[in-house]
Amino acid sequence: MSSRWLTLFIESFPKILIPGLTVTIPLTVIAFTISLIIAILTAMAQYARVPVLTQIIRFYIWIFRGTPLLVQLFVVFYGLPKVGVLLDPFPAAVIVFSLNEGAYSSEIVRAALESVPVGQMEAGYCVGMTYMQTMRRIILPQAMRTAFPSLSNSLIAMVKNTSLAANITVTEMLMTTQRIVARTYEPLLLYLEVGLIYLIFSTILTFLQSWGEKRLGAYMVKEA
Amino acid sequence: MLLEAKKVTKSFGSHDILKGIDLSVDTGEVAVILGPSGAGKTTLLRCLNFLEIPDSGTLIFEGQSYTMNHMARTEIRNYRLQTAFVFQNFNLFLNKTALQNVTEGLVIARKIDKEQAEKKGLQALERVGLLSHRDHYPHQLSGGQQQRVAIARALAADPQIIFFDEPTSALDPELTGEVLSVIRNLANDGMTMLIVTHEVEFARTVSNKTIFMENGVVVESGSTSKVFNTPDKERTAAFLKSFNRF
Repeated sequence: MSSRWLTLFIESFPKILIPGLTVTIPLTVIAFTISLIIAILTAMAQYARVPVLTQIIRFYIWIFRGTPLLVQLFVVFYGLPKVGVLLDPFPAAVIVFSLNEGAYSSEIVRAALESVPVGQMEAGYCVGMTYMQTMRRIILPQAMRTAFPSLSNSLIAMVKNTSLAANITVTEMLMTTQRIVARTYEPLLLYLEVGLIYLIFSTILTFLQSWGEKRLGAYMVKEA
Repeated sequence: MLLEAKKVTKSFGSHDILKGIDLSVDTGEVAVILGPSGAGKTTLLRCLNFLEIPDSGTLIFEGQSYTMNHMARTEIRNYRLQTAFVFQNFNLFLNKTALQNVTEGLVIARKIDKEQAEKKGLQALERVGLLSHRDHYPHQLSGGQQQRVAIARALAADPQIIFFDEPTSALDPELTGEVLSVIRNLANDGMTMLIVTHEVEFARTVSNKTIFMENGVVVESGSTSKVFNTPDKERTAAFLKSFNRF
């Protein structure tokens, strides 16, 4: 029995890992990058209290934080074709994960922007810099340093959340595992195995996070 | 006259902080603004660099006249490029080293090339005695050192005038000396400065002109020796006398 398990484990490992490398990771990297752009732009608009735009952004965040990610995936992939918008599974997943994560990260970045002392902007003005110059050179870098741990958490969460894309037929790691389970009837072993691969991915990201924090933290006050 | 402000008013809600201030600073002059807490000194200085927009008032700078509450963004920016401001709590850019703090405005706002800016930055740091701290981040510097870097940042841009907003108020008493002596050196070099301060003895010895404010109005203004030795107003005399009790 145990040697059969070992053989199955070893045989299935690359079969599960490959969609991890070709689907889960690209999906995460693309969606997280787009979400970061959404987050920074929307957070800056909220920080500057741009009228109308701020209300639109609040509405967007309200919708995407207030509804389940799985429901959002279903609406976009199964729902939108009803109104003529037909998307392949992968782009549909990218869109939903980007918008969903963008909404959460927007709040993280906005809070980080607001944590930068007002005097930093005033000092920028006083050396003759414009609002945007000071934002780009002084405020945003400090805010991103503050937001970094929270954003890293979001990234790790997203790696795991991509497993939900199995529900809209994206053949990522979980869907691949489900298929192997259907053939071999070994759910315990295989689901533990795919869980292990997620754990490896998350662990690598955690290491990258602490490395990044050290690198970014050169100007930060050391904790007492 | 380099800078002249006329009838500057500013209120926050129902509080009238500035009730029509007239003030002037000539090139090469060191003017100090004295007065009790709540007199509106800091608000006035912030209005003079448009960190607060006055409700009304006229600014005449280098012969150009501006309506202070109706200035275009580019006008404010051009004016700021010719002035500098030193804050009570330094406000050094926290993500920049001492040298980068000094060069940032030169490179980004004034488009001076990096090499040239660095040269000017190092000269400015040398003037405040912090050349050896060029690569330190603000959190690695004492309060007095941070304020000296802030002064170097102000100097590097060759401003027509530097505004100082209580430059030593946030410092431990033993650190005020180093900052005051840097400011005194600038005065000796002929730098035009407008200084809000609580250091009355420093004000007396460093300035040519003293402006005494209370409750949002200028009570008395004139040459420092006149205001300190033979003030016209009883209130001025009482205020200055309160510092001579011991």
